[in-house]
Amino acid sequence: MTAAASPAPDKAAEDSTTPSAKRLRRRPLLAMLGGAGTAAGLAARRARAASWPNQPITLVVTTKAGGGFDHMARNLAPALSHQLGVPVNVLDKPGGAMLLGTEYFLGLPHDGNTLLVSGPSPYWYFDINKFHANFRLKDFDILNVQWTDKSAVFVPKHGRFQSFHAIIDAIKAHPGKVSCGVVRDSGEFFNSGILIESLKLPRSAIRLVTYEASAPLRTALAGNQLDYAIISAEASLGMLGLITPVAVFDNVPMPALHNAPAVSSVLKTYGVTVDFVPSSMRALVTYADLKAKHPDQYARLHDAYRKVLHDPAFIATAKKQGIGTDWLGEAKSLAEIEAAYAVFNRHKSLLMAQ
Amino acid sequence: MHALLSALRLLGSSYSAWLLTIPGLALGMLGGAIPGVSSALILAIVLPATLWMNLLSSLIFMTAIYTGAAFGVAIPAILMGVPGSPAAVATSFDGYPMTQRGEHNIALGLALAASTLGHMGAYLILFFGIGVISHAVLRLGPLEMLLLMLWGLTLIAALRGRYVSRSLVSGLIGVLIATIGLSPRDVIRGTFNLPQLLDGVPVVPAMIGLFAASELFNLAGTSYLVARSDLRTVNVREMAKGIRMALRHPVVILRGLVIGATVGGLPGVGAAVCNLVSYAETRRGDKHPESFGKGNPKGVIAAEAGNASSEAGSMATLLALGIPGGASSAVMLAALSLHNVTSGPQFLDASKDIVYAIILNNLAQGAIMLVLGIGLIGLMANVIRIPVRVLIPLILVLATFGSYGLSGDMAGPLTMVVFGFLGWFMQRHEYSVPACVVGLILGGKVEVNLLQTYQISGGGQLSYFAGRPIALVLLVLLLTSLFGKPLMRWRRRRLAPAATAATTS
Repeated sequence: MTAAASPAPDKAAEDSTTPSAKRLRRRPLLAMLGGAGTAAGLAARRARAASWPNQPITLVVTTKAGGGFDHMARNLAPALSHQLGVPVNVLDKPGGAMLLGTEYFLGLPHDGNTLLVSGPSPYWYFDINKFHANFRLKDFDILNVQWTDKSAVFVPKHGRFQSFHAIIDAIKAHPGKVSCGVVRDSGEFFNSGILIESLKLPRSAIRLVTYEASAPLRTALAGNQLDYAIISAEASLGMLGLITPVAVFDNVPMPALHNAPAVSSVLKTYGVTVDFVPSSMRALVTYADLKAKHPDQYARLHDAYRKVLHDPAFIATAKKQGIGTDWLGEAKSLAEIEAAYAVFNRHKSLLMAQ
Repeated sequence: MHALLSALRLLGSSYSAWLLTIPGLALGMLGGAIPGVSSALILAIVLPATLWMNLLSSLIFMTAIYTGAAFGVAIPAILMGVPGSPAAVATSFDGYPMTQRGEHNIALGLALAASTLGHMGAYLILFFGIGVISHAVLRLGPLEMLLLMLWGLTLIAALRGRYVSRSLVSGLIGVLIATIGLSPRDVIRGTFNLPQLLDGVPVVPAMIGLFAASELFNLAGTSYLVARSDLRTVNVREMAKGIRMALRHPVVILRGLVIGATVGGLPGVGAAVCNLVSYAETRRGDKHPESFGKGNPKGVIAAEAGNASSEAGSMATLLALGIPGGASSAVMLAALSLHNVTSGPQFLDASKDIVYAIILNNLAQGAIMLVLGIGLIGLMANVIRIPVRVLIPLILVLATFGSYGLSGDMAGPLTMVVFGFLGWFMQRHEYSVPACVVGLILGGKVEVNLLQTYQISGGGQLSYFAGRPIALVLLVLLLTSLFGKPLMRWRRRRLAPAATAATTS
């Protein structure tokens, strides 16, 4: 919308090349009008830069309404709006494992008026390495990874196995007899593979069952259709009467998850140490070139967002809704994503193995 | 018992919940009647407003919208042959031929009664056994789902015009289109490198295009939907006749509501599959299966009872297990979290009174919908008085907006147009459009469940199948439904000569 003023003079110049008396007479007038337009546009742009932001800001979310990403954006919007003094809207652009929304965002004018709420890990990794995305991590400036899901190993309440030890022992004793559910194209999918590889077993040692989304997977697990599943932990809390966490993909046990032991500590008893990929990361993102092109806008955005995530009232309400409020900042966020990508790269053969 | 009393007290003391029931139903019915506007969309739009309501009122408001929309989608399916959502596909099979015969009043009455009874019946089941129903859903694994969907897929053979082979080809085209996009095994198929197709062809715009365009091109030569001018009336007495007619088929309704209440709760299955399975089952059990698809009232009843009762099924899994069965219940789950409630087993134990209040209110919603519905269909049925040359552009504009609303960009309307041409071509050459839609809706789901069955059974080991009694029963039912009658006929034919030979000797 902001670019609409500039093409006018070019067009007038093009038109005037046609040798027509009528056109010739019109040329000076058009040139004058065009010049005036450009001047006005420049002045407006300068004024805008001085008092940015002066128009609504949009948060593009790369998933459907209702999910965790959308939830985070809608929770963030009013707080950012309060800090920046302009309305902040949320726009859902779902599809293609976050690829469509992310490419849509990159196609917009690179200024501070649009921000992206998306999942650099694992989704962008899959987009880039599997779905031929036209973007790379370096096209973005990750303002902050605000919310990283925790995942856990769950078993049905009346399932065959009631501990992580029992699952591993059964897989080792009877390869190919234990079933494991995961959502395809997820960090959990990778972790199920990394777990089996770390035990020096072939992938066929488990019956891996892939689901389109986590709701059908949880249903199947609650119905004792599967022996175990690796699922995002927070969204499973409501079902704790039907499914039981037996290990968490975290360094410390979580009280909300019955203090189930950390996966790494259980594996240690088998003499195995291995890195897992983090579960879904939800980040607020801007364009890589914003800092150089509009340093003032960048500073203003960064400052506003940092203030929001350090506001105790905001943190309290977000916590109540189960929304993460981590402030890692730019450098640490990027480091975490790159660390995750490194683990993905080490197990790249899993990418096409689904 | 105590929970029931406090549920009654909750409902008795909260007039706001009742005040919201009627606008909720009306909103749902109107929205559902616009092709492409899903109940999930209406619910998502009203979601922010529920922040200002208490938990019970917001849930009642949302279930009222859900209930209304479940019936609303039947209206365009019957009057114009354009189902507004996959949930009403089977409704159009017999409802639209009835309209063309001038029996639109009866068909609408049938649909309203079947919807109401299906809805109330399923909630009655919920009232007595929400725990039982929700756990019955959990017993169904991928193998059982696969068999249920194959059952729905057999409809393709039934939905034939003059040529069986062309109907099978149509069904196959539908299934093939459903394979476009990222496969369950993570292979990218048939996207022509268009990232927009990674998630597959958007089903609802495609369905609207197939039905609407094929029907509208058909209509272009006529001047009114109902050919005979003396039948072009809106008659409440006729609608009442339809309602009474539905009451005479309790078995059809009961079958629909049992299928809806159980299958409807399954995540990713819902009303879209229920109406097809209920229709297929009713057609199979009927003495004159060939009369279906040509305006058999039982077809309308079966489809509507099936889709209306699926709401109760998905509410059961939502409230008792915390699992949303579809997009609509996912929005309700969001509404629950806005009120800081995590649904699931703990919620069911701790808030039995709220759950019972919702169920009781929904039983009442059925009765209210019957009254409101007669008013609404009385209004909507006037569509038949609109000349076709005015109606066609109107429907096309509505459908285009609806498709845009579904995808949020031009992908929806473009899909609709492309499939419109396909639908027109198929209709012209007598390839069954409904068979193609059934293939399109069920194809992807069949594939997902087939793959999961293969994975979970360790590569198709028979020991897995032997340990699943429900699946075996379903398999026997499926095989009887497919081969039972031809086999009996064959046996009779073999016995007949022997018998005649015996008598002559």
